[in-house]
Amino acid sequence: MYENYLALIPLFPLLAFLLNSILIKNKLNNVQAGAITFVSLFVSFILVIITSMHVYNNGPVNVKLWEWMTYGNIKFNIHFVMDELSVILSLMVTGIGSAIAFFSIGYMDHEEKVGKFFAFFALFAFSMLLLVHGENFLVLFMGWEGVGLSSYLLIGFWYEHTKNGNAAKKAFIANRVGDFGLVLGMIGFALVFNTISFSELRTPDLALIAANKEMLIVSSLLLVLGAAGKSAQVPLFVWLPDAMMGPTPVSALMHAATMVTAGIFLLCRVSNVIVHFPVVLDVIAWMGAITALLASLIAITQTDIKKILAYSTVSQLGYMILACGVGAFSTGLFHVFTHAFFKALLFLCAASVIYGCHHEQDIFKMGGLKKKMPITFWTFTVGFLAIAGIPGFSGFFSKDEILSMALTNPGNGVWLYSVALLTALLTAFYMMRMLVLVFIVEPAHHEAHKDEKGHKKKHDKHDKHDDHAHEHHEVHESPSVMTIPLIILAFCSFAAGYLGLPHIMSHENSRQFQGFIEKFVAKTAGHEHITAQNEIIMMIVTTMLILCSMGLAYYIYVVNDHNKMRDNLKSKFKTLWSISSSKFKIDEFYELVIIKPLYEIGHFLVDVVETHIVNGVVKLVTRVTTASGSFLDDTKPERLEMGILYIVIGLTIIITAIFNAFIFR
Amino acid sequence: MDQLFLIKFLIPLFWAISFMFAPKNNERTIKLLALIGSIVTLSYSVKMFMDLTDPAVLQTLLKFEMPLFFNISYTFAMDGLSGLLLLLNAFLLLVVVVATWDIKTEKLRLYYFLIFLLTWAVNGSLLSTSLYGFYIFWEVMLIPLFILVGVFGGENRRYASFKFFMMTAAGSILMLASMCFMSAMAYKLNGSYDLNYEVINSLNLKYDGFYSPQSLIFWSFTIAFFLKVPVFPFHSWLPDAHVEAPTAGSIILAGILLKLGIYGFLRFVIPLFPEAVSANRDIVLYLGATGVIYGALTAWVQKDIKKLVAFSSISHMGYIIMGVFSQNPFAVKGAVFQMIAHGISTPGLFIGVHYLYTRRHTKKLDQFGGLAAVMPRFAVLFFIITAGSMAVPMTCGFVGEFMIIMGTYQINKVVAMLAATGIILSPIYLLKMYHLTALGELVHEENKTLKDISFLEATPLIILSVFTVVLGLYPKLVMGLFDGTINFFVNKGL
Amino acid sequence: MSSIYYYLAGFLFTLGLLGTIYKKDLISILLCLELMMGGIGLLVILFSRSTGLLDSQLLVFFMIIVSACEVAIGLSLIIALYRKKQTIYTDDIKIITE
Repeated sequence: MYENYLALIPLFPLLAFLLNSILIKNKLNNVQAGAITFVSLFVSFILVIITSMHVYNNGPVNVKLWEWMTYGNIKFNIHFVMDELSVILSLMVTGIGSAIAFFSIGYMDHEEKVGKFFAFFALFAFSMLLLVHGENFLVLFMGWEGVGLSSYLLIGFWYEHTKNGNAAKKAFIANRVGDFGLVLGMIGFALVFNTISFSELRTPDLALIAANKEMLIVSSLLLVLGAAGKSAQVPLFVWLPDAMMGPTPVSALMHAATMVTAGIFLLCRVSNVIVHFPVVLDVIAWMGAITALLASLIAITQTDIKKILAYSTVSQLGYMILACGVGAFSTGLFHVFTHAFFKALLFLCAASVIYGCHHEQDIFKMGGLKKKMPITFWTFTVGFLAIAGIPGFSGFFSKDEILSMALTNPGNGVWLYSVALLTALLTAFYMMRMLVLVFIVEPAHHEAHKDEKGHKKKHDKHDKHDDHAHEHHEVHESPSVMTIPLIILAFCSFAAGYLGLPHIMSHENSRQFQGFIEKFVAKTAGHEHITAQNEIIMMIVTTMLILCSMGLAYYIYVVNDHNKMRDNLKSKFKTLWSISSSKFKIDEFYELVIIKPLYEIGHFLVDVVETHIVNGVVKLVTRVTTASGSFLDDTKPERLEMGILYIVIGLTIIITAIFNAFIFR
Repeated sequence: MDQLFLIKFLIPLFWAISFMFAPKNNERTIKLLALIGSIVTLSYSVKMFMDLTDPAVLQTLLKFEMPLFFNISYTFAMDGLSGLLLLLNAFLLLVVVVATWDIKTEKLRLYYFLIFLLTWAVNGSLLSTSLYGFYIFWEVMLIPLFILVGVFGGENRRYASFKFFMMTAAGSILMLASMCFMSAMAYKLNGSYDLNYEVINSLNLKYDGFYSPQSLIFWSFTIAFFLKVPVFPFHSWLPDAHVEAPTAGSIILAGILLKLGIYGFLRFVIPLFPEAVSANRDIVLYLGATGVIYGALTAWVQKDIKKLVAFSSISHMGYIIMGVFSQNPFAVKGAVFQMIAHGISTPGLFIGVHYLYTRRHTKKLDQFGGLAAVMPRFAVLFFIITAGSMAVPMTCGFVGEFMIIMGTYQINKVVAMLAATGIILSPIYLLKMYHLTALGELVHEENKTLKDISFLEATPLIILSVFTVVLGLYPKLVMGLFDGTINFFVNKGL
Repeated sequence: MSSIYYYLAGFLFTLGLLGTIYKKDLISILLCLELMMGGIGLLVILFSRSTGLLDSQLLVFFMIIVSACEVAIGLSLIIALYRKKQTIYTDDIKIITE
């Protein structure tokens, strides 16, 4: 019975996708199309809850649908599983997905082509569920590419503007670089272990691991490349900020809560194998740490509300990867869990703000929304406290555990810890900056920016003052269809942390979450033990530093009127500020070093190799043939009859020769 | 043996000849005749395929000897592999007739005559197991295509058709030379000039070094087939031929003719010259991987959409030749599957280009853009086909590529990694193509009044899209058909 | 001694061959063709003599018939050509230009 439920879980979103696609010609409005997607996701959510409770008590549920292919002993099957890892992610996908679908009904109420939007939304949900419930690498990869494809379709939703299309293309290709790694890594694993099934990789054969060390290390690093592509780590994170061109609920769902966590999910799936290779774990840890720091350094100078959240996501993903890198896979997954709630919440609040401010996205144009959008403000604050890591909110528990795990990592623990701590302070800083500039401070008069669809806002000089006054009169709180999900997510952001309480706070109920996950992933091991006292000191110190950071931000942006201090600091640290706000020029670097050279190589291949070398051989053959033909033409006799004579003479000679050869064999 | 086989086999030929007697100016009749002919061909192909009792074994359908003519016999036999390609051929015939239904030309009868003749020649090539029979049909295939490109093509058609004909014929002559050599050896041994498996195996060609008999014969066959596939250095006829050919020519060329080169490898070269294959394996693998990357990079910079698709063909065939020459059964099966997948996705792309061409009479990428707003049905179907070409999992393109990479990885890791970069490169040019046609802003005035594709026009695209997705999700549908054959070939080769 | 007839046949044939090449008027060329025919006929009869079979003599009869037809057609072609070009000299007839 539970097998049937499991098979149905991805099926409902698929049906919603097909239904919405077929009914596109009926031009459904946002409520109808959104209801189809929302209902399907919610039904899946219920099924997930039922099945999860069964799994919690009885262990994993499997259902094999059909056989895709076999290769010797390796069976490639379409096979779903609900094990401990899938439970968590499936709950996230369906739960947060339903909330965001519900929210989108309100957000997209004045859009065209809503049917298309909700169809792609459902397609994404289907693919993500495939990924999460995949029992083997094959189904996971199908879901992996499926979410990549849905991401492409949704980022480029307003395809009339070339910029959106380019962002979508960039996302897809960056993902594909990761897929290159994933495919090769998958093949490596399959060839070594003779299986692609995760259930079997749960308890890998240690003899095989020892015997095939180099191959497994290379394959694991390739899988890490795959994870880096999907989870937006250095060096492949450049697609995530550009992905903000899509509708904001999309950003909330994919690029915050679910799709980008697929990389960490993958690492957890193979954790039992890669735990044996410290080299791989070090690479992962440093990749995560560097990403976290880099992204937060960029975030402090961004002005677009969505871009700040995008870089914040990259940074938090760095944390999760860092956790995996120090061997604390369950902690990483715990942060995935808490992050999903508060990041989705923050993005939906941003959506609500954008909707309320009529598609304005520059935080310097917003301000003072605390009174006009109270629900949004308070839910945003909850999310902000969670991400900053204030005790009591979910982010605190997961982040704190990551910090302590990083510190106690043998060898490079101190460095990782410092980077992580610095990132936490920067996170608090820029989030407070965002909170203050959007909600608290009264707005200044700045130039208008483009809104999220890329339409340039109409800007008449003498209407400027009227415009602003006009806008502020019209800024309003979002309808309840949008605020209800905000409230639900806020509650979850607060409460989710209590599933993973550290030991010192509660002995009986500590680490419920992590314990559950560790039934699948590799257990955290090899770390030095921190005494309870040291741990409390660490917590207090971290919290104080974070509060200082928040206070600093408050001071710079609130206490000083009209950004005078901000402008002062900006001009003092001019170079640093420009490095940060130009995103460390990484996009330009890739353009210069990779994309342009490749394009030039392509041109070279066509202009030089194709025309001269390859075609050259052909032309050479032609020229030689025609030249020899015309040479022989010159030896032609003037009179036709002489030609006949030559023919006869030649024939005579040949026939005589053959005849003699036959006779005198 | 099938009694009616000869009749069934000659149906396309008779149908082609019947076009000569069709009324000249009655366009409707001629097209209807073509449609019925293609449906008949498809149905008898399906019937012949269903009559196969065991796909792994070559079943002789007809054998006739010609004692006076050097004692050569013709044997027609079919197994799963040739049956599958036969089906693909007949299916593409139907697709061609439906997709180019709205063609306007004075020489309509000639057009269909050539297409049916081509189908017949391909059938003959697929069904012959005697080397001379195969060779004759191989050469016959060139002529209709040559005329098709030369008469119905674009501006530069003379150059393109000559180049195509000369290059492939040159390779075939090489093949003929080595066939004559083998015949002479066979004559010394058994008194007959005939060539087929048993005879060639009994020749016991030795392989030691490059100048030994087996090696030279292997290379002459290989170069002939390389020119057809086409493999990287010998590919220069393909872009020109595709750009200048009419859509029907492109579809049949990309859909089935290129596959015949691979079929030649699978059927003749690999089972018959195993030592030579083993010795030269690495070279060919590297050529294949180079083809993948070369095709992708050159496709990226193209400004002509048909040339872009042509170079993408080179890229895909690079995978296939890699799979064929890696002596790993999984990769070889992947190569065969990729043949089918390529035969579904690339004709789809060409049909899409055809619909664009009939509306705007240009193939330059910068003339399009933003068409999804005026031609939504086209945009959706074109996207599904493009995804299939890009090897998105859950489409047919992924299955073959994955199997090839996995199989080759066990033989030569470097080559597999080089080929896997195709995963990154293929969306670069395919998405560029899609973005420049369907997405973006509607800049050109002429594009704003284009009509969306009608139901008739959409039908081939819908069928191809369905196959793309179904085969991607359930490859076993097709896989079981050539499993046994490939095991047989590869085991012999190993 | 009997081999002299072979030389005679060869001589007739060569004479005819050189004639067809070097003669400038069409009728002479036709006559030289007949001469070649005669030489071959003599050769065939000599084969009959050396193998003892009579088949070759039968063959000569057929050859004579064939050459008669050939001359008829050749003459009619020359007459048609003469009507067109008013000359029988190959130098003045340029149908296939070089």
